[in-house]
Amino acid sequence: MESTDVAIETTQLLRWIILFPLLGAILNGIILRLKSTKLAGIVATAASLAAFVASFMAVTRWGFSLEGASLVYDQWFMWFQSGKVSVPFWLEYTPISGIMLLVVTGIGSLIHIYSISYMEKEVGGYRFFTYLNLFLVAMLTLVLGSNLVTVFLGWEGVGLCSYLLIGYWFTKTENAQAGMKAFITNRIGDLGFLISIFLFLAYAGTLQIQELNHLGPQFFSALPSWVLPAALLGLFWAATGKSAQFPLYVWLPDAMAGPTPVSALIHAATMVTSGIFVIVRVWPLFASQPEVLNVVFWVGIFTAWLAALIALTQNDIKKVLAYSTVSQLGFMFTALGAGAPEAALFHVLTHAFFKALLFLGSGSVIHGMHHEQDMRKMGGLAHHMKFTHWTFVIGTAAIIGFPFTSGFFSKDLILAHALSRGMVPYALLLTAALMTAFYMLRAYSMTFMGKPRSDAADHAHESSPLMLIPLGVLSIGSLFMGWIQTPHFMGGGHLMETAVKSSWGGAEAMKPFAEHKISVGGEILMILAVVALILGVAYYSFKVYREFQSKKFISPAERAVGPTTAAPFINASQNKFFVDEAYDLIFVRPLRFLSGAFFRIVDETGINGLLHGMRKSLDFSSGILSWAHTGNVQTYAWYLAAGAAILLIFVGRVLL
Amino acid sequence: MNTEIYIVTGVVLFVLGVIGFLSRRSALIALMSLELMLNGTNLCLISFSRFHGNSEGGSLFLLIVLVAAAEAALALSILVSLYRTSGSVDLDDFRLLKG
Amino acid sequence: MTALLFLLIPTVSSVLLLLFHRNRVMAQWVNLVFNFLWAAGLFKLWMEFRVQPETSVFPIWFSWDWAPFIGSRFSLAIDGLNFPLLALNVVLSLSLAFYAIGHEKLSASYLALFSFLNAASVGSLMAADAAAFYLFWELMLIPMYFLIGKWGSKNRIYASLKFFGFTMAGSLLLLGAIVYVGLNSPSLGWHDLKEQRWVFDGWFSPQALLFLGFLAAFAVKIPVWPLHTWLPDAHTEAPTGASVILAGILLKLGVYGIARWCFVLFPEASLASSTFMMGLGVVGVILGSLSAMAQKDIKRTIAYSSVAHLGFMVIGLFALREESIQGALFQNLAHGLSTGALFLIFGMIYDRTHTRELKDYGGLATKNGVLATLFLFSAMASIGLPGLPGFVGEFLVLSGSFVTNPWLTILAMSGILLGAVYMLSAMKKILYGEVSPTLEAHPVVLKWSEWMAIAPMVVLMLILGLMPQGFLKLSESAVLGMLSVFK
Repeated sequence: MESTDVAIETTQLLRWIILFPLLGAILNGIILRLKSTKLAGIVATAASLAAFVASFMAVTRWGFSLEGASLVYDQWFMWFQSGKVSVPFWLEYTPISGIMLLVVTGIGSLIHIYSISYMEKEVGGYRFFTYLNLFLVAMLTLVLGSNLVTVFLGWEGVGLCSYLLIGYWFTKTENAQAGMKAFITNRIGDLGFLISIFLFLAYAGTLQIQELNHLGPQFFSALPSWVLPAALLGLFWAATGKSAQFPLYVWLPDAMAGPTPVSALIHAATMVTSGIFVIVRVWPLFASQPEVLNVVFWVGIFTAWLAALIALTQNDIKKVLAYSTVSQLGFMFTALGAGAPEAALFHVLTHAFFKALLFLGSGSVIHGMHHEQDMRKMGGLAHHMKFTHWTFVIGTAAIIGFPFTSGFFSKDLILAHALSRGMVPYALLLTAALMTAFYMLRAYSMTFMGKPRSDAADHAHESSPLMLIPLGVLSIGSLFMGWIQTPHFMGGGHLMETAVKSSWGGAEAMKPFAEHKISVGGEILMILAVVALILGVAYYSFKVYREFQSKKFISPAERAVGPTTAAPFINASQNKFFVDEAYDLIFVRPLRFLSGAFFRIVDETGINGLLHGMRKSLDFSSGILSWAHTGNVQTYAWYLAAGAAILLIFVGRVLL
Repeated sequence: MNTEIYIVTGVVLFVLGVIGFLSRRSALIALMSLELMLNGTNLCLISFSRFHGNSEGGSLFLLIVLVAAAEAALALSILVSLYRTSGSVDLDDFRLLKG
Repeated sequence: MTALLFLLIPTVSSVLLLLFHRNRVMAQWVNLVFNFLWAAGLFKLWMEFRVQPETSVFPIWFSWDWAPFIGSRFSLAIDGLNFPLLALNVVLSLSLAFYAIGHEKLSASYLALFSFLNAASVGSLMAADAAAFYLFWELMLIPMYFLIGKWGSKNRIYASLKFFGFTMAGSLLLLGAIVYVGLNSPSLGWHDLKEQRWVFDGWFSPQALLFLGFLAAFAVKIPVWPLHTWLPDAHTEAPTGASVILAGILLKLGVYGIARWCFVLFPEASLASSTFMMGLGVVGVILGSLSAMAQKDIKRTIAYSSVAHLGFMVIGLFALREESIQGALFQNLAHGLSTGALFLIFGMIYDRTHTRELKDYGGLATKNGVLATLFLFSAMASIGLPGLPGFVGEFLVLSGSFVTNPWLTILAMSGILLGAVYMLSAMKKILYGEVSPTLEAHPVVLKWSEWMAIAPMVVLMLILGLMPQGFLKLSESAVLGMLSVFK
């Protein structure tokens, strides 16, 4: 950093946050390769906990608000540098990184602990824990990276680990296929990241995030007007891949093929929120581009809506949660698009807790049901799995926004910001929130209420304490985490706001949109209305689905408009609106066709055809000439004589 | 001394040899035509040697006689073995020079 | 003198190995010993290389006045441009020497030809004289022709002829150009040729034609689209070792040749052809990747992936910026290692199963997890995962070419995506799913020597991926010196 007004603090603490899990991965994957999955899990958990301790030390040292314009760097080593391209491998502490560090290592450690028990029957489970630790390494690099390329290293690194973990049970081709789909879909997004990097490099000449923030909109306004929007849209495109937004969200539901702790850690709590995190890191640039934010806003709303609509009819418990994750991520992008990074990040934090809780709870159910995920075969589990049941209740309450749980605060903040952008987006987002209440209570009731609908459900057993402890801790977080950032009239914490604002290295972000001030009374009234609506829908769903029996049960949609009218909608929703099929038709098949066609037409027929044609024409002409070669000595003598005669005539005519 | 007559005779001998070699199908006659060509050349060489008053043509003549003797012996033996293996000395029956 | 020694070790070993033509095992061990000797030679080279002043331009290490009548001296020179490739050659050769231990088919004559190939390739890397360069360049063909033609698989004759024909056609144009420059310059030495300025006005002027003559040979070797169709055939039919060296060294010589000879000798023509050549690079990237997707033969898939990756290098070279050329040179090493490792690992599998068809494979990860992991690792390195060397190369290439020509660069970036598509599909079919009958019938259990062959490549890939800076510094001054001719 050249600017003189910025105080830089250097440290060597941050690298240890990455090194501990790396050490764990090396120990587990290369050196020890333990037969016992349990021991491997303990090694991995120790590594993760060490990273947590280091993160905690970092957070206690620098806190959630950096004074004025100070920066904290761990100047580790120069990764590569050539010409204009300079990519130092530096780590940087910012308050929002601090929050993410705690989430990643904290929830990560809990999930490690949970996995020890969840994966205990697995043969060669050290592979699983190696991947988990590797994931932490990549995710922490993403969080701590001080420039866009180091962030990109983590970005693709988490993609790789996600690929490996989704396809963890690789003997089933579908799992391997799902992993591949995740990787490739993410790569489509990553191209946007790269374009954005190249644009910043070409026009701003730096990739250090804080330097970009410092250059700010003023610098970019001197450049061609398309540069900054293009670069930011590139980043956002990458975020739609990693954070599963329309149109690249299709990989996330398939990613549920991986073990459930992975779904909790990677595909709910941490990795999928990295898109939001990266956008918040360069927020001063985003804030100067309302048009780009509009795109973000509408994509967020559309995704929140679409995913909620699909979640309504899914029968696989993990699929419900997956679509709900996509939908909640849509909420976060809506917050970004409305110009409220603190609301987005706040929802990232609360979501990490309650979604990890829900996934781990579903994992506990799946474990208890001997790997049955279909909710139609569950029912009545509240009696068999009491602890899991209550934690699931807490998670559900948090996600639908039950008053004073964590989700209540974050979701209402987002709704309030959506309202300031107009009634239409507000109404859309509110319906998405209502749908959330509906499908979550549906999932809850189908799983835990009513009578057992299969033998497995009848004989389900509660999970081991090792799995229940993380559930308990996460429940506490889901209940109380919301108090760190409360509505203004409640006068509570503003931790998120200060953390976000002091994370740009002293750069200021403008307000992209004019704020609509609502009176405190109006705000309270509105929140009450929202809460009432949500609770109403939730209760309705609870009442309907606790009666769920495969035979005489009539779904709400059928009740409302009659079976024949509802059938196409239910069918479309169950089939995810045929998005996968459409992509297959529009992209996959043409690509496959093109590859075959190009190979055959250009390479085989074109170039090789030309070559073989040349060879054949040579063969042909030499065939003609070889006719003169009779093999008879007298014929040759004739040629000789004729040649001599021609020579003689030539000599006589020309030379003499 | 007038050498023209010798040279003309040599050329006539050579041309006769060429005609014989090209037109006759029997290998034996072809060989004899070959000898005729050589002897025509020899006659010319000696005449030129005489004409120029030096010995180069003469020495070349001696060399050719020597080589011709060897060649004749070799060629005849090949001919004999050819006849033994294929039962023919007709040149049209042989296309062995083709690869 | 060290440079000459470095060149002589493989030459001598190729002759000595023939003495063991009756004892295959003995030959294999002797070959290993010679490779270690060669590695020691490399180390000595390095000790002397690191103390040489940075400012010297392609300093000559050895010179012998072998043909004064054509103005040629046999001179060897080493700078940051060729030293990394020399090292790569030694590493790959050492790996292959380990691989050869105990292999039934790899006889003394095979190993001798291999040593000969090594000598020729390091010779053409070090040559600082056009005639010497041409000599080594052509000498490489001979062992390669026999390696493919004798030890290859079913279609080997066709493949070796095609390889020979393509390369020969390019080389002839190179020869013509060298003869012309030799007649119009005080000597054939690189340093003298560098001082010459050939007239450039339009594409029929001397410099343009000479440039095309040089380029023809290099473009065939790289191979630049559309001169690439020999590569899939040669790679597929060649024995494992030849595939590794072909991908690891021979193709790289094309890139090196362009940087060493074309740019420095004919800067105006290089500049004028920049956009066109970048375009060809982009076509190579896209069509190479698409063709790789359409293959049913594993070696063919890898071969077409080479076409695509080398397309990136062409883009990097002709973007003519420091970072992009550095990237292309770094990509040289990265691709040599990753593709080399892919060919090597697949070669070991092929030694057991004797089939290259993708459909015969499946479930390797169940049977041999470690090998599967290394296979996947190499594939990830090949598709440019950050943290592995391919990323650094591709990133530098594209960040440089983005400045020169953003639209072509964006087109080329589709190759990054397509690369993931074909590589991961292939990996999915080989590694995952149920164990295929072929793998069930032929267990892939590696010997210690085979592990030893893979290990150095993997370790080097990690080092190059995480700490590329040292390697970039190595070639920095050479690249800057080279770029100075464009000013």
